[in-house]
Amino acid sequence: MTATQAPPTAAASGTADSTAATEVRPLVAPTGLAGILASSDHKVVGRLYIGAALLLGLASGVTGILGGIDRVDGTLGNTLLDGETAPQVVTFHATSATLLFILPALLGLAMVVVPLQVGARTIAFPRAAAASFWTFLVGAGLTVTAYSINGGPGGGRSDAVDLWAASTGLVIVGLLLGSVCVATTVLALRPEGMYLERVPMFAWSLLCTTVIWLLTLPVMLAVLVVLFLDHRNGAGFFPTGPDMYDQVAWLGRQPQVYAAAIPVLGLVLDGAATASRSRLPNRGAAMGAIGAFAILGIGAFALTAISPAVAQQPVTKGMALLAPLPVLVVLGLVGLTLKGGKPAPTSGLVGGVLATLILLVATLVGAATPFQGALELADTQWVTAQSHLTLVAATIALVAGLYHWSTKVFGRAASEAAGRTAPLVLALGALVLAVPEAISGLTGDRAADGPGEALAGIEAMNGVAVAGAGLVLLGGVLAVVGLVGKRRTDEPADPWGGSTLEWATASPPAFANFDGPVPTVTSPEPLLAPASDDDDGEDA
Amino acid sequence: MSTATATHDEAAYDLVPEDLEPGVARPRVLLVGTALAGAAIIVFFAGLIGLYLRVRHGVITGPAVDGEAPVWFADGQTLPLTPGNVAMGTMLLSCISMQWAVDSVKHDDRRGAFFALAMTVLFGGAVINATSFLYTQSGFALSGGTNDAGLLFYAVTGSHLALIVGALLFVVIMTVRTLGGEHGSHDREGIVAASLIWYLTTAIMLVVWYAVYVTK
Repeated sequence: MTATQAPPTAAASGTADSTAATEVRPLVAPTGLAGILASSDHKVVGRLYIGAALLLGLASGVTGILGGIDRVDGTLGNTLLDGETAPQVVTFHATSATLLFILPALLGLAMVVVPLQVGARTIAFPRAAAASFWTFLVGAGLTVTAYSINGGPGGGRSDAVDLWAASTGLVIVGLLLGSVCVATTVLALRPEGMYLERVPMFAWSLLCTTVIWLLTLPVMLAVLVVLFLDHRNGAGFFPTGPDMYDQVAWLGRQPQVYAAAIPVLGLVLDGAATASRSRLPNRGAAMGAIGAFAILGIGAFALTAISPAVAQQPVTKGMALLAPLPVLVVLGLVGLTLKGGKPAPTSGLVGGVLATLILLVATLVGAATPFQGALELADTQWVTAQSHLTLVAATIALVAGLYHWSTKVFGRAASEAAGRTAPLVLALGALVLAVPEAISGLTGDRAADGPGEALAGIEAMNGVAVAGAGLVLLGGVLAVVGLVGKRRTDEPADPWGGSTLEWATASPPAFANFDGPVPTVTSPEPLLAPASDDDDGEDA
Repeated sequence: MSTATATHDEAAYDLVPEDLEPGVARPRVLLVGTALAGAAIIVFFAGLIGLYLRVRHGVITGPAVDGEAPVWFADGQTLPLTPGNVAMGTMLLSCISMQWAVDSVKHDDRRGAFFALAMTVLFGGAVINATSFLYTQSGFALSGGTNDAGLLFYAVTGSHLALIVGALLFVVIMTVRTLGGEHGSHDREGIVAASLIWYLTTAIMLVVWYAVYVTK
């Protein structure tokens, strides 16, 4: 039995009754609040992750704008915020954008979509996945609490600073646990015939992403352990005050920040293939490009606060210079895919392409640092621009993913108009935000979280950057409104005519994802008819 | 298109292995997950021990203090080797008992498996005891301010103690499951996964023992 021409339900119906799978007594799943709080269904856990991350992302965006307005004159704590609050606001924005927003939101999307894409009936270790969310949520709540009582890095209340270090560690533990679940699902829960080279690109990109997180975030955890012990016991190992933030700032900076943007590449490839209803040419190159970009996102060695010389090492500069290449390869493959079919401008495609273009700009900005000398641009607004571009690219990809798989994630088709407009607004906001920052960085303006005095005439640039940040926030709000604004109707399970396994099940998917056993997979696009004799699926 | 069918959690999870065609190897989900978690643990300790070694190297190769060669440990701070050696030796012994447990499960020897796992847990407890004793002998005072050596010593060894506790919990869970008949020659995945984490814990201890206790 193969799944080349028919969805699993139809193909499997003949044997479903004879398997142990269908002998399971159907029971009513818990509903209401118990169905949410006690659930270990990967779709429920994923939705919880997404919801919590969007709320925290809103807080992160608002604090970013507040910090930006305060910094319009080029100094911190002299206008809108006082000198003690301003660094707290800025560092909350910087750390929460990655740890409390992008990473958990992408993990949530992955938890919903990846098991469906690889034909798994559940995520690996479903209870661990649920535990990862609740661990993350408790950690995130305590982090916000710590900040709210003056306890961020360099905060004025000692116990609250300890709480911040511990709760941030808890957030990382939660994310690591979730990463193990997602990566294991791709590695060990694929149906027969779905070799790793046949895994959909989004699932492959999430495998790369979660593995890179598993290989880098523990370093952050180690730093936080030392930081906690140091601060709590007054050992004086790390600098106190606002400089404490330098120990954790690497998470949002090149090269580590790219680890948050790896799914961009997988999403655009899946979006292009689905929108054009054609096969992805040269899957090997695509998987290689995503894998290479993931490797270039390993930044755990670049703890410049501990070893400043790392920024000058050839490997660091080489990674920065090479980062645009995988993005260019993916863009080329997207072009070939679209050329091979009749693409429709779906939200997934539009958002994916815009996210990739912004990511390309981000990598080019990052690649410029070695020419300038990394330490010259370090701590300037140039670095901030690079981080902003990368993180907004990841945000656009997140939005595109939520719209593309809205029938799977939310059980309803989202507004396509909003799905195309929101990424445009986000991309425009990213450019309006980052271009003035980059120019300011070239003139030597220090980063918002760094020391230094204001440069003359910097107000206009900072003002435009704040407007860009406002556009990004507006785009995010528009995206959320478009997701929740449409009433549930009789939605088609597959609004796009997709070719991968997630489109072979109901929307929203049943508890065990597929009604029966997933039949043997014989091609990377199991729901597409074979195109030619030399098709990949023919040799399976 | 398929229709949604609500099924109970437990039932749905049990579907995973049964879905496979006869003759298809059962996916080693727990082993893969354990390997990934193990990789994260290795990176965590690589970061901690790397920081310890880098800072220590910076201190002992740094400028003289008051005309005297710089030292890593301050006056009153010492690391007696005996408790560390005892802990290391006990940990190595526990690996033998752990492998014994794996082998017993392979041969459906539940009594032997239980005995071996109980010994492993006992050895683990002894290592915690030896390390705690070392803390009382070392002269490092964490509270009330300490130097870099004391801070990083507690960060590295304390984290490893936490790892031992976590690994012990894993072993205990697998012991209970083995007693319940879940693991046997038909399915050794759980006990092998527990042994994987235990060996990793031992390997990390070997590095800590050499980098922190022996070379000081």
